[in-house]
Amino acid sequence: MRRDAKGSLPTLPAVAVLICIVLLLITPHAASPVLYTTKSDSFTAMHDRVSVLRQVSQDNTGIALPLMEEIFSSSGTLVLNINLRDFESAERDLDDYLARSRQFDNMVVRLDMSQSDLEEWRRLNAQNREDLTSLFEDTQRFSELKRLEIEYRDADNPDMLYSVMYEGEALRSRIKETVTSYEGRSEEMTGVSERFGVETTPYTQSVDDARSLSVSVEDEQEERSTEIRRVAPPRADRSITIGLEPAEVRYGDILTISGRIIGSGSQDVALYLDSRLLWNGTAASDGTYLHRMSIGMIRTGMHTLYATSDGAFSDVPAFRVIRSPTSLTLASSGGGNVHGVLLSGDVPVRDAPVRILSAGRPVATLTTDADGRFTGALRLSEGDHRVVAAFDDHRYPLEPSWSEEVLVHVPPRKESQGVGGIILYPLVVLILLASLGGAIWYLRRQSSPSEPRVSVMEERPDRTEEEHAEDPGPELSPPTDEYGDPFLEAYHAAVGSDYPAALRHLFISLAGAAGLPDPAYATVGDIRRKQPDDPRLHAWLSAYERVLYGGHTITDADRDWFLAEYLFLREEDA
Amino acid sequence: MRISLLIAGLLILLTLGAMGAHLQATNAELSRFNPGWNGTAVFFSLAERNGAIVHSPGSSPVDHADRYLLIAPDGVGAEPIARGVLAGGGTVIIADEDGGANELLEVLGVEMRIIPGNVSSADMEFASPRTVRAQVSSNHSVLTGVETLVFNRPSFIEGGEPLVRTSVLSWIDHDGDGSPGSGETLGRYTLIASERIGAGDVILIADASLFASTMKQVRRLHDNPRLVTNLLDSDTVMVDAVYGRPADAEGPAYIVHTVKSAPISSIIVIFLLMMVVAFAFRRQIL
Amino acid sequence: MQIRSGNLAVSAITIWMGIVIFFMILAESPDLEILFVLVLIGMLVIAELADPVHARPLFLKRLRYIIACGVILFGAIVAHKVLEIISS
Repeated sequence: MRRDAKGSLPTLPAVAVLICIVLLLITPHAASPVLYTTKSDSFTAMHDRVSVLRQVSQDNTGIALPLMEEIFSSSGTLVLNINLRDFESAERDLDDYLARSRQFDNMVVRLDMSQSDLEEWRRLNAQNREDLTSLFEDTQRFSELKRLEIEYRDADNPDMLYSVMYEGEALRSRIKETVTSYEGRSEEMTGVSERFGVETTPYTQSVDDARSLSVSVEDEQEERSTEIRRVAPPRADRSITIGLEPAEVRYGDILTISGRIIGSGSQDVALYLDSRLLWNGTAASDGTYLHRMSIGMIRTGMHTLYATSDGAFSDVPAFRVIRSPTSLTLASSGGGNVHGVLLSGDVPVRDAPVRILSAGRPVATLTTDADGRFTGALRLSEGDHRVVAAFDDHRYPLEPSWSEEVLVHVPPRKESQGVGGIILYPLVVLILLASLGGAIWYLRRQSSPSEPRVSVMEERPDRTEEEHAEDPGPELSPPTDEYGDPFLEAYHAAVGSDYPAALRHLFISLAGAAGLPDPAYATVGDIRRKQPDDPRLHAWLSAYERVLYGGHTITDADRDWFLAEYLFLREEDA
Repeated sequence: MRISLLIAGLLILLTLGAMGAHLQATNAELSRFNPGWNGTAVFFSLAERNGAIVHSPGSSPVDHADRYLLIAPDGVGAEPIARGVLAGGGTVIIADEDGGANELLEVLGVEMRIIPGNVSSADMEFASPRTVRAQVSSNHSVLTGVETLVFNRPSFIEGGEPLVRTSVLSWIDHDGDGSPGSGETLGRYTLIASERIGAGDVILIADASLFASTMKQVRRLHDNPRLVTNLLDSDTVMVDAVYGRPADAEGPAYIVHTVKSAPISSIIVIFLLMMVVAFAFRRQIL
Repeated sequence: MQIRSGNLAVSAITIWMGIVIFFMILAESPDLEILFVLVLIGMLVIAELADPVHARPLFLKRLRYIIACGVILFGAIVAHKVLEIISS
């Protein structure tokens, strides 16, 4: 069996040509390598590649419509409880109603539907919310007046009785105004709700209930008024006037309240806004008084004012607060902090709460300063978050507004390793050490399957490699003057890598020496027949057969024996 | 030398295989030769496994099919076959989203029309409002066991009896910004409708992407697999691969397929293989 | 099959790499780490098969060094993946 010359040389040009072709194909794309990922092939005009999209499985209609119905039903029970004067339950209903409304507002922003028809419903609901909140507070206070009336009547305090009457008057007109506004909206609200398929019965019921509430409040106040005037007739010698300027105000405007005390007596004046004490002051010597009120945190809508001084009560004029639009800006100041400004036109909104939302959930509430600016840190996890600022406090006569969405990048905290870190780094080091150990073990390990077969494998590799270093190939011939036998040369050349092939060289040599015509094709039997009575030769041949065909394992001693016997046999022949 | 020959042979076989796979495939949308995510190769192999007959160019259509499925048809070529199916009381199912089926519908006397548009919904299955989730509002036989379906950039249908409609928070995204704005009214849009024509009925699906391979690659897609099974579940189902997008094949793919599907090709291939094996034995290579 | 020549080992590893890459492209999911692990396994298999009865050829010694480096790299990949999983 002859070895082919290593065919690497003729294939070298072919490989070179292939490399050139490959380089030619790659170079046009090398400037902008775009590795194919499924993300880069994620849609065509006809469809999206949904297998790479995040499967969010959102059923938002299933959340939105029931939420709208819940808002209606909680507003229904709210008005009912107000009507029944059960303010404890009504307060719970109010909280529920406000919470759900807020949830709905957030949802509209989150679904990016602020320009859609759904926004219309949201807007109407926000107005309803203001009306219902006023209704609750005013009716609650109105009910309290009844208790106060009895108290003051028993204490025989005509001044306080009159204040109760006036307050009741103020509340009555406010309640009436609120109910009119709530009622006036119901047609539009019902229309929009029906478009979405939302059940409106609780809502229309609440409108009816509100109307009957207003009527009952009117009756009650009428009764109270007559009763009080009967019990404590008004003072004839004193009176006090009041005037408001302007009649309509907005956030940031100044409302000028002025008037005059006619008659003698105390010059102390008390102003009541919406039946709550606004200002205590003293009139001038001519009886005139003046107070300027800045419109800040006061609800949109109608408000009432009256002045009183030592038993004299003024009329109850009303002024209207008109809602103004607002603008809210938000920016990221790095490191998870944000800042921004809340303005109403040019006027900064002071001391107002601004809620920061991320993915629809509130993460912080910041307060504006005197210039309308706010700043603060957000408690967010690492990474990028889209946040939005919202101002929707209905205690202000301001439109709710949302800022633009802003990307906030929270950098990884250095000390966030904590417990995880203590376990983490030793684990990683352990894994690396284990792989290092494994590699070293693998290198040192001797191929176990071969071990039992060749007992001297430990020594062989080094020697074989040394031999290879000395005899790299058939090109470098061993010293011929030492051996002079080409078959022996071939044997020594092959003995390192292919022992059976090496033995075969010796066999061919012996076959030739035995006189066979074609030694390369000779068989053991041929030699045996040729040399029938050479027991050593026969022994050699038998051993040869065992090695080549019987899978006999070779030991060092065996090799020496083969070589020695061969040399002996050749010497014999020679 | 034997071993190097073996290696060379292996490399050549691999190259031929790769070349063959490349030539047979195509990138055409919804093509049955497109094994990628936007092709219908998976659907067609499913159909064939379920016993449906694929009407491809070169084969003749089945006479008495009781269900005829057309995916994104173009032109009126399928009219005679469709008429035959309808006359026999069968169902013709057309899935189309770019309006190409409207010609065929008109010629068949159907009043339903596909209105191409970007139907989007707040009820999205994936992170895109155009992957619309819709509830089934009918108990048509084709929709048994189907409650929720996921659509992929559907259009909508006018006319017919609605079988599947979007929720009310859905809109046509004219300006392509993914959210409803002015001029984009919220409402319910019909995605699957049916109409009776003579003895049979026509079911129109406003989304051909239901049959694309990417919809099958998702593990849980509500009741979409059930819909496909229902569509293929009939005595004689014929799926069209001549008049619609599934027949699209650019370049060599078409030729390769026609050659491959001709019955004589397999005979020739087997013959060649036998020759090669005989040759190998002769020369004592094997 | 006795792998007695360095050429054969290289060809076998190349063909194995080609097969793995072919299937990765077919499945449209190329992943460098999986490729690396599979090629490392291929090299280990060849190193085991190439155990001649009588001697250890030179190429095999070099191959074992390459495999040792590959094992260390594999350990690094495993550590990296563990870090990813734990910190997520």
